[in-house]
Amino acid sequence: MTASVVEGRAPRLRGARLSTNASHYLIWALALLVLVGPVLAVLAASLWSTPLYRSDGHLTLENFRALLTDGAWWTAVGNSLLFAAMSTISSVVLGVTASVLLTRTNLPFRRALTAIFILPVLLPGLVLIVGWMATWAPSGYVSSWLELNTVVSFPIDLFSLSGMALVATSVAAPTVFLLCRTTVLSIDSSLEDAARSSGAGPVRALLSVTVPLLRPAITNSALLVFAVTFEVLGLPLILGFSNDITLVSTYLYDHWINGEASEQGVVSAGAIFLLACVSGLLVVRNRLVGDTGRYATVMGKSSAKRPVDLGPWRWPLAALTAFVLAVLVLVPILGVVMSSVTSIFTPLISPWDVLTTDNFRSVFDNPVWVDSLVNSLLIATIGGLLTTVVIAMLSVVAHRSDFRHRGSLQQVMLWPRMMPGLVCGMAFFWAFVLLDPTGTVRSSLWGLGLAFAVRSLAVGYSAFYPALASIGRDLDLAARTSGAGWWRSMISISLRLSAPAMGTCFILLFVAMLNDADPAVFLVTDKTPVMGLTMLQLAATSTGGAVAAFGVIQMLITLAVLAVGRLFLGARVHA
Amino acid sequence: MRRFPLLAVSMTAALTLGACGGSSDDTATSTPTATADVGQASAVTSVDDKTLEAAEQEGSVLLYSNAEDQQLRPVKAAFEKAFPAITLRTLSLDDEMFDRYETEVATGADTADLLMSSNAVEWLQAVDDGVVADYEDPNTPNLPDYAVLAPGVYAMSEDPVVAVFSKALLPEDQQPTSMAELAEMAPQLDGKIATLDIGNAVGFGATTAYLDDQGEEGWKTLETLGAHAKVESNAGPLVTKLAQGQYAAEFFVSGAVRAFIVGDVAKVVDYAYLTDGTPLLPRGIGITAEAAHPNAAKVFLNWLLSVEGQTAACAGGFTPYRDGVTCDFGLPQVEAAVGGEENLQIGTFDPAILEQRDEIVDRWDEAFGR
Repeated sequence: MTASVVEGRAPRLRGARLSTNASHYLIWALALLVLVGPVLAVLAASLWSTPLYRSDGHLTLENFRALLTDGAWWTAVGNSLLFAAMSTISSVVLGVTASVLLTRTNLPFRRALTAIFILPVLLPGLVLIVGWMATWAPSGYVSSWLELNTVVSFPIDLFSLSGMALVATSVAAPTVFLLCRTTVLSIDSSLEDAARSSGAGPVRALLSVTVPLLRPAITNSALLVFAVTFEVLGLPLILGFSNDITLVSTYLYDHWINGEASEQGVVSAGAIFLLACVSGLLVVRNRLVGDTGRYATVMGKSSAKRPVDLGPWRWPLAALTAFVLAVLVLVPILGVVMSSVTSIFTPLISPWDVLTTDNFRSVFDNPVWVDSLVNSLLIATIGGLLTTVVIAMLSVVAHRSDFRHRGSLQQVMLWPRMMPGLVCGMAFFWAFVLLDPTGTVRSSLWGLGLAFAVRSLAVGYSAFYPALASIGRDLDLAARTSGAGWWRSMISISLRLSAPAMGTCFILLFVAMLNDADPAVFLVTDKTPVMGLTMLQLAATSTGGAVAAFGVIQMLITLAVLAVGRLFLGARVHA
Repeated sequence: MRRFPLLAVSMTAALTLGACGGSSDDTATSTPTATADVGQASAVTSVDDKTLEAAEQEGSVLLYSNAEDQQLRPVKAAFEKAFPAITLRTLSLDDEMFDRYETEVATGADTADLLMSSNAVEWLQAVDDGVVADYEDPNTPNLPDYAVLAPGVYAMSEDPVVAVFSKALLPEDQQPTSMAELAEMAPQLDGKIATLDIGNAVGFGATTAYLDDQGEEGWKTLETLGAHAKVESNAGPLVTKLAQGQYAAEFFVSGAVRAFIVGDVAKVVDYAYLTDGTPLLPRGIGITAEAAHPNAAKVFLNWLLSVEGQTAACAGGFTPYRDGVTCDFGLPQVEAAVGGEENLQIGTFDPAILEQRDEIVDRWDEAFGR
């Protein structure tokens, strides 16, 4: 009888393991289908002699040869490397400093400073560029004012590589901040106490305990910022063009838009090149971080978190932070607001003489624009929530399971973000032929939402990775010991403890999906206009007024969503 | 704030006169308003009743257009008023329009019944690829020769490019009236002149139409200008930087900016039709080979090319060219402003453009230091 009980139990356990394993395979297969489908389309285009829609093409390596032997391409790669490196270094330094300074110390006004710091994340990149151009361009309002009325002047030419890196930093630094902040918040003060009892001062304790623990968060956000700035298109197209600065993204864009039809293959080859780069960077990240178990800070025991006392440095540091934020955030946002409420915002005419509500009225008077606002909000809220859940599932499988193909999940989550937006749109179009032969999803908001979600996966995943690294695996195992299955332990332990990361993930996804434009170029229909595309078309043909008005409306909506989230879900955005 | 114009002008020492041109009490409008004879409208030539009946059965027609939504709104309203049984659906797309159409056809997706674009190169390739249905509209005998661009492709408007000036940096009495004059001023305006990149469809179209008319002389002018000019990717940054005082003069700017140069903006910015440099770019429209609503497409095309349709297009900021269309921005007005028919530079879809393209682009890049 005893024997039969034992025999009876063994198959059940194996059954549970089997079903967990099967669910992992199912998730993996679905993810691969949705994420790799578009990549396959790009790969096919890169190896085909004509655009995919032509039937008279053949397999060829000519596209890669043409790309890799073009001197202009390598100049663009060099420029992009320099631009991405400058942006990454400055945003990581700024973002990590801020995440420690604003969450772990007794800096005065840290909550207000935090709120200002993350404002640029809530705005579309295009709108921020309008703001920067209106204020800090060589003949912008504020730089002209400084030149005329003071002895100082703005030291950086906005239309140069370093000017572009500065604009990129103003968005990327708060992103780094959000990604690191979750980890900083989870760090146990007792670790710092241990350093202090060995004789270290408070700042020394911060530098030798807290900052090293941030390594997964730092390498991860550096990877993300580097990847995103390597691919960004709007910034070089608007700011770098007049000085003939070509980046990888503008090189590919130019060949796609202005080239012969056959150059689509070259552009696709460029996209594959970028995918290979990001995969390499991911390997570097995992090497640098090593065993994530070393960074587990959330263990079985909890303790109160006490801020580090900065002593006499409190006020000078607060003043310095306020100054940096004024230049990087407040002035450009003031530029956006002024552009939206004036008919023309220029140093040549007093803005108070040209105040107007026309920009806002023209947005609300245009039914297509209102539709695009509503559609984008639907995609951002519903899509953002669903995608957060999906990313949570993919992240735990990729980092907390023994699933044999988990490494490939990390790769494919980053890939779609590295494809230039237009190529991505084309790729999704072809992928949908495989995923949805009936074509009903493709032409609906769900199709657009899926494309935006896939493209935003990298950003959302970057919010989860450091959070999961900081949660000790012992906690999962404890749950397993008490009889929970793998999924049960994930849901009630790992995922519950990474709720703040989930909040960050949702916010980043909400904003990204609200503004995404390029993948929509092939998928948008007359019934499904989206805001990002509407703004892109407006920005190409008009002065900034209407774009700025869109930006202000969007900033207010996003702030409202954050406030509601905080009220009902208790998800806190800033500490 | 009134000191700002002084600051801006001090950057260009040669232009110290009229420094207060941008002061806010100067509300003089700069819109060229030539009264011109618009000619007599010819008889209406509609599609036959059978086509109309079939079109009403189809019930809707889908147009991909390079024009903006707000430009198409008056067109849509007027068309649906004339044909209540047919809905006009529009989607604004840019240079990716033809790629998207061909991709949709290849994958069997729903696609456009009509395409509307000013991009001559894309159109020529599309005609080669068999994208357009070879269809002759009943209006054809009453249209000027230049309106038929290729088999099945008609010009719905002839949109001019204009020169735009910053009044603060370049007061009206000092503004050039021709490309030749602008080129003479170029050394003094070094770095303060700008234009659209040759990679932009409007920039390329304007350059080819201008060179078609001016030949080697035109190249000389462009090369003189190029040595002192900056280049932007599209009209947005061009107009923004001009309004800020970064640039003083711009040429070959798409005429769509005229709609913004009103009211307060006109206090700082004005525009002109240069007598030897106002190329008109045909905006082509054609019925697609794979149209799902071919009859409704025929009805729309026929209406759009009619005097009634051209009048509605005027309300959207397009430049109609047919006789008998009353419009403040029509072709006759441009003709009067540039000093007569012989100065009109009307773009074509000449297949030779495809062959000469690389040569023109290379020489242009050389001239503008790109």
